[in-house]
Amino acid sequence: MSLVDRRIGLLFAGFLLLLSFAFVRALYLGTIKGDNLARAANVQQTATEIVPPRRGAILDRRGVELAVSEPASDVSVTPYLVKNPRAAAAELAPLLDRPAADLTTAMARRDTGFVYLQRELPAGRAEKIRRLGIEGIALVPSERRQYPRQWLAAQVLGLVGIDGKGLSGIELSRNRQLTGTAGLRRSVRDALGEQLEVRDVERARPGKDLTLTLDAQIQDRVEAVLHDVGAKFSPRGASAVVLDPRTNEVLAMANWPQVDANAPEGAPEAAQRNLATNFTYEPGSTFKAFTVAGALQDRTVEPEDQFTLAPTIQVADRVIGESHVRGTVTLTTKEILAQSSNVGAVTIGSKMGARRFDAWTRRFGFGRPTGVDLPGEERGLSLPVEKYSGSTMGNLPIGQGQLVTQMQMSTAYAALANGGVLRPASIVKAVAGTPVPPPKGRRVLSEKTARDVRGMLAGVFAPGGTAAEVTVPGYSLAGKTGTANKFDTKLGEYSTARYVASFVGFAPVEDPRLLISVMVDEPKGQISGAKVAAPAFGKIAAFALPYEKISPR
Amino acid sequence: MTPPAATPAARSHVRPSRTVAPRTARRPSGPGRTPARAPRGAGEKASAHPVLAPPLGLQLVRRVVALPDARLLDRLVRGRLWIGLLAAGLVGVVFLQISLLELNTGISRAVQTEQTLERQNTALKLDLSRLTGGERVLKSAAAMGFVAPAAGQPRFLDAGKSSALRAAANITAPAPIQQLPLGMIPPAEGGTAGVTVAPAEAAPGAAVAASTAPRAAAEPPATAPTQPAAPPAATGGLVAAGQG
Repeated sequence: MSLVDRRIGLLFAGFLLLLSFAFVRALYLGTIKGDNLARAANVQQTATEIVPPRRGAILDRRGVELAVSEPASDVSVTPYLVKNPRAAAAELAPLLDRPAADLTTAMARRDTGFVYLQRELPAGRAEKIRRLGIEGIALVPSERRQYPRQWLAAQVLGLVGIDGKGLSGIELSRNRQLTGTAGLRRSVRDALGEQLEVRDVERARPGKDLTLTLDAQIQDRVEAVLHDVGAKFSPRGASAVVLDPRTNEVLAMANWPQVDANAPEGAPEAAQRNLATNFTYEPGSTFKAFTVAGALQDRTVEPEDQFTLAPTIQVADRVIGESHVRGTVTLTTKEILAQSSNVGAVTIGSKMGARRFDAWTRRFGFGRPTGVDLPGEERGLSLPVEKYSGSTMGNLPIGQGQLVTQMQMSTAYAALANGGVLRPASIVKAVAGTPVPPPKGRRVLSEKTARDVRGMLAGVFAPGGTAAEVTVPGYSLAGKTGTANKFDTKLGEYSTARYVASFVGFAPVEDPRLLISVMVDEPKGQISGAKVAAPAFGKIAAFALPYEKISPR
Repeated sequence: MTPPAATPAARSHVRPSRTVAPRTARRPSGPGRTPARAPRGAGEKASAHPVLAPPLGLQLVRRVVALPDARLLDRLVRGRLWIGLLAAGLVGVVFLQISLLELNTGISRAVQTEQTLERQNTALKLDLSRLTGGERVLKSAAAMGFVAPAAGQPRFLDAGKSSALRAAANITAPAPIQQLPLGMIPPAEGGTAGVTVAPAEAAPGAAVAASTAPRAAAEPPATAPTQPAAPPAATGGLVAAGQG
């Protein structure tokens, strides 16, 4: 054999040997270590994660987003896996918006294997944290609820808790529809952490979008008006409701003080209540419209009936007078309402009798929730007729001695405005694009009686009426002022320093398209509905009427 | 062993005569074949058992059994085409695996893209909602010199079907946009200088922004102007039990 042949043979033998080693190694890894390696690969490379369902958005009637969920992550740490907590904290602090010292303390803990560093971190920042590749840091997909208009209708929309469940408002009452179904996703990553394969084992189903009856622009303006009321009269609270009396769709429901829906922890708990449904008060003179309406419908009185009224009237042991000193006057039923005569209203009430009066109170929906789709609606307090005392009928016809909610007053006045049909207010217009059927109403008054009462209420804005100072040029207005003493539980009698000022009105009188109710709790300086609530009604009407394209006369 | 070169002595030896065998056909190499029988003459008697052709199935089986020995198959198996085919097959398998990996990676990237787009979409929705805020729009409009018409002035028209058709027929391309300094409002056609964007039927008493005084109107007056009242009736004061 030549030298060349021997060298070739040697090289060949060498390669054969190497190949044999590779073969043996492959055999070893594939058979003896095969199972272990497969298990390890599964643990390291395969991950199963829960895909949180997208919570449905809440929109106004024109599609403006009022509540939206954005992808986020919960950032947690396994402390004993973090090699250098201080360095890790320094990297994470700007992304988590937390002091590095706090993070260092959390990551240095040895008493637990799991610590949350941040919940609901926006997905953009979570992605930056993931790219840092800090060992021990885990990111769990979650969601973050955002209210882009911040203060707008915060008490109506409500809040969502850290676990994605509605806690108040619409978020609570419609939680089931807003919440979707979580999914399950399996992913395989390579050694560098890049995803090789993604498979949805169970597909996540997003929640349903809700379209409300609210109009964001009207809501905005109403909140601005209430803000002015708050600045001027420093009340304990104030609320306003705007609805279309033809359908009882709520166009605006505002509260003061306002709450930032994105940071509710900064507001006191009292401010987070929706006063329109969760606050009861004595309605005062605004209730007189129902006293008169019931009496007219029963034909107990007629609009032009005349009453000679003394300055005061005695009912059992109580003497009821007017809000202003006057002598004996003769007023028609119309004028009693327009001038808000207490003596006149008590006289009409006594003509009706306690039982008929009680029947009418309940017929107009007082004493029970209206059924509006908001949680925690109060039912108010209407004394059962069996519990009337001798002087009860000196109180109830003028709106004292009973508790109502602003929602009850608004829907009852809507019955006067729309020709006599009482129906619950609606606030949810559509679910996932499917219109919600409007709530059914029931007739409580004839059209004629409703028309007569509307005409009387228009007199409130006429010269001599309690709201004569308020006008909206080009539009005919109707409504009723109310100023009610609040009951002082410590003194056991009505306070002379604390009042609820209210106003409920609608326009145009001939064909009411908007109903506006304003309630101010304990205003300071001025206390009457005419001075505090009626001007707010005027400002809201001046914006809302042309906005809704309602032509002036 | 070949005989030695012919010598005279050998040449003198009488060569035995050889008869040359008649030239017959060369027997082909291969297994011996049974010589074909001569066709029977007319006088030959038929054998006792006639030979029938084997059934089709048996013929088929015989052909299959004989297949491994077929020359064509032999040539195919021993040929070099298989090397190319096997190589192509192996390369194909590898390509398939790589394609599968690429598809999976593509799906993963698509999922990530979907998540990114969802984030961006949500962010845009939030921005849009904030930008349509009433207060913001009012402030921007006031800064541009817009003034809200006084209450009771805007009128609304209902377009009938014929109006809509006429309007559609009269649509023409708009004039090029004229860039004006901020706050300047071009005068309306045929109107007075410094017109607002209020409707044409704006009453003379309506607030008008002069073109020479570009604005900074503060919040446009949206409140209902109150009229001086006759002695206010039934307002203020305290009563023992409720009041109007």
